Amino acid sequence: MTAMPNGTSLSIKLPLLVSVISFSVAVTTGAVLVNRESRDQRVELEQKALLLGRSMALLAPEPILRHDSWSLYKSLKQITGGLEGSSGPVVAAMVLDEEGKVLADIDPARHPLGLPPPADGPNESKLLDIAMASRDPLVLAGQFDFLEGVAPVIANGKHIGVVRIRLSTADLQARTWEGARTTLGYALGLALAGSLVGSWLALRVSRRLRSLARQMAAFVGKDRAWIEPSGDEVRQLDESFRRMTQELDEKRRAAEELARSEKLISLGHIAAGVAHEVNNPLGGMLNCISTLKARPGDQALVDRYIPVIEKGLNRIRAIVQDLLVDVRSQEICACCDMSCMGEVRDLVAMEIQGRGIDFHWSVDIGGTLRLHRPCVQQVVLNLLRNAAEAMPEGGILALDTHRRAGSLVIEVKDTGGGISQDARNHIFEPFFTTRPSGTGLGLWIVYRLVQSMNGTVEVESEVGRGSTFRVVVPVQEDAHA
Amino acid sequence: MLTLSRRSLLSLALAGAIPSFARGASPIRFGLTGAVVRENLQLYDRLAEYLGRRVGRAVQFVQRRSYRETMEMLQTGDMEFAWICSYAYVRQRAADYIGLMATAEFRGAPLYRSYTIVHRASPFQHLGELGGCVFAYTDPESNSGYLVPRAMLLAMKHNPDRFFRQTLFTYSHSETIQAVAERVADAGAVDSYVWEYLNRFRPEMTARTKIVAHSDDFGFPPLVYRRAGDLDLRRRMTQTFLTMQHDDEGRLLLRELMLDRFIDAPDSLYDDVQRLAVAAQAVPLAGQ
Repeated sequence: MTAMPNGTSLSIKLPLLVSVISFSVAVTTGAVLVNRESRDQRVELEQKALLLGRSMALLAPEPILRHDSWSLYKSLKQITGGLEGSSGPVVAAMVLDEEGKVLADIDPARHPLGLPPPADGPNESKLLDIAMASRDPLVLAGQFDFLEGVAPVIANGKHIGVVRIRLSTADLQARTWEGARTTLGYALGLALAGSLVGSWLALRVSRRLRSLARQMAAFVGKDRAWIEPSGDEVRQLDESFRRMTQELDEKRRAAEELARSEKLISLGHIAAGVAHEVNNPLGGMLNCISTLKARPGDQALVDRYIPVIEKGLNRIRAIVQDLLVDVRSQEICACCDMSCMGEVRDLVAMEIQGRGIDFHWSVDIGGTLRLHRPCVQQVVLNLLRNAAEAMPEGGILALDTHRRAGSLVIEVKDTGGGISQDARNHIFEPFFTTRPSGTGLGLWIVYRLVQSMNGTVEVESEVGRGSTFRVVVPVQEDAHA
Repeated sequence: MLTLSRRSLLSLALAGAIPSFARGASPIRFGLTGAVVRENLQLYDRLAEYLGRRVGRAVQFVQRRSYRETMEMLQTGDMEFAWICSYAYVRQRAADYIGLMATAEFRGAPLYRSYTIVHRASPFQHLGELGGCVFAYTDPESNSGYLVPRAMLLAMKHNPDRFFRQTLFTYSHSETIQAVAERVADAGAVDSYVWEYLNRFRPEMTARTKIVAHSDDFGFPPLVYRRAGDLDLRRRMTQTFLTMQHDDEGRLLLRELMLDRFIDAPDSLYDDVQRLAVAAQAVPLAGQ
């Protein structure tokens, strides 16, 4: 497998791998089984040879002593089943006298009576010597194709001959080969099945992997040239993933860059706003002071300009105070309840008195909420003031505060002139205002406070019909209430 | 053998002492030897049934391995009748305990001969060429299967005890044929009747042998009776054999036995066998 080029598809590698594994397992298991079976059969054959030899050796003494070769031959033939027409494993059987001459043989044409069996080569001579020397039954292994059971014939303690029964191992070998062939057949079958299963798996896996790689490629960017990665599906996926993470990293860095520059822009914007807002009254005030310095002692001028200067300073102070709202340091030191809303109501009612505004008040916040009281008051106050300012000609101002699914909902409606789509995109920016007297910080403060409470603020508006601001903040019921 | 002889003598004594009526219910024991084909048991069962019906008593064929055992049983009264070999007959007729009952006619005469057979593939053409070979005799008391070939060798100035490398006894003519057919023996001597019978009914056996020599004719193996036996029974049995050819069943049995009929042959028919036996023992042996 190591020789396989890396670029080869999984649809080739996987089936091959499964095939090789199936084949190896089948061949190994089969070989072990065939080997064991073959060994068992050999042992069985050896026992058979020994049994035949011993049986004949038990029958042999009497006919040998009576010189009854014919009976001896018949017994040998009966015990071994003979050679003719027998498909048994006996390939040779003989009884020899103590001098090694044939007393009986199932193949008399080859081994005539009364003569020593012909020595066909050194191996035969060696086997004959061992058989003649044996005083106990034993099994001799032939060179290739037989094994031999040897049993001495003993009569009254005297060694009078030996029985040699030779069994063919050809059948054993044939069965072993047959087993090996069957095993190989099974192994090939399994390998084929393995390759089919492997193909099926590979098809599924590689299709998904390729799809994933393609999706990653698409994610990385359409404008960027996608060079098809080389290697198999896993390698391709790996490469795609690497490229994608690289790309994501670049995007994240770009986003951070952007956020940083936006922050700087925002800061610059605020600074410019502050400068502008502070500069306007400063101009008027400096003019007043310049005039007062030119005409010292002119009480009438002092009386006229001091309030102007005061007004200007007040405006600057208001701007500075609004800017100083520190949303981060506001810890929950007082919880919000119905009374906190009541204070806001009184304040707003006093401010809008005589401006033709119909004030609808609907507050149901249940018990005490773990919310920062000044924060909530500031948010509600700013929204109400903003709405009231939107109705210079009067109208209906409505506050609806209620609980909904673990949140506090604050809705402020007015029937003023509404906010254009263009203005809606900027209303929460600092110093954005459509009114000459406004600082443009009220809604910006609302936005920051709501954010500090992990809430959201949204606006619905229709030009000429009025606007609705909706604040939703998550709340926790005060367990101590 | 000593024990057997004693027992045989005892049986003989008892057979004489016990009245015949006391043993009347037991079947008549009829001995068969290697002189005839003993393999066809079904045929002999039918023959026994036939004989039993004719003589009025059940007949049982009894087989022993050798002629000697059969002759001993005749002597001791363990059997009443037997179909024995001609040589066995001439050896024992002088002893006067058996008598000739009937002789079969085979192919027109109460005669048979000895065949010397070799394997079909054997190169030997004559008995004289078989020196140093393995030779199968049938029985030491057989005429065709022992006496004749030995006499033939003697006539050729060979010592039959040394002529062959090895000899063996099969105690049955058909087994002698088998021994030659399976090449256990290079050659053998058999009864012509048995060879011809087997050649007809079991040709696969004889086909593996060939006849290389045959002897002169001799009296066919005889049916004998025990002289000490029941006279009336003997008469009935003799009559049954001699008239077998007169009834269908008897004819069928004779045909299946490949015999023409049984005749009352003169005892002199076996004199040739006797002469041969005497000659075989009288002629000086070669090499001695």
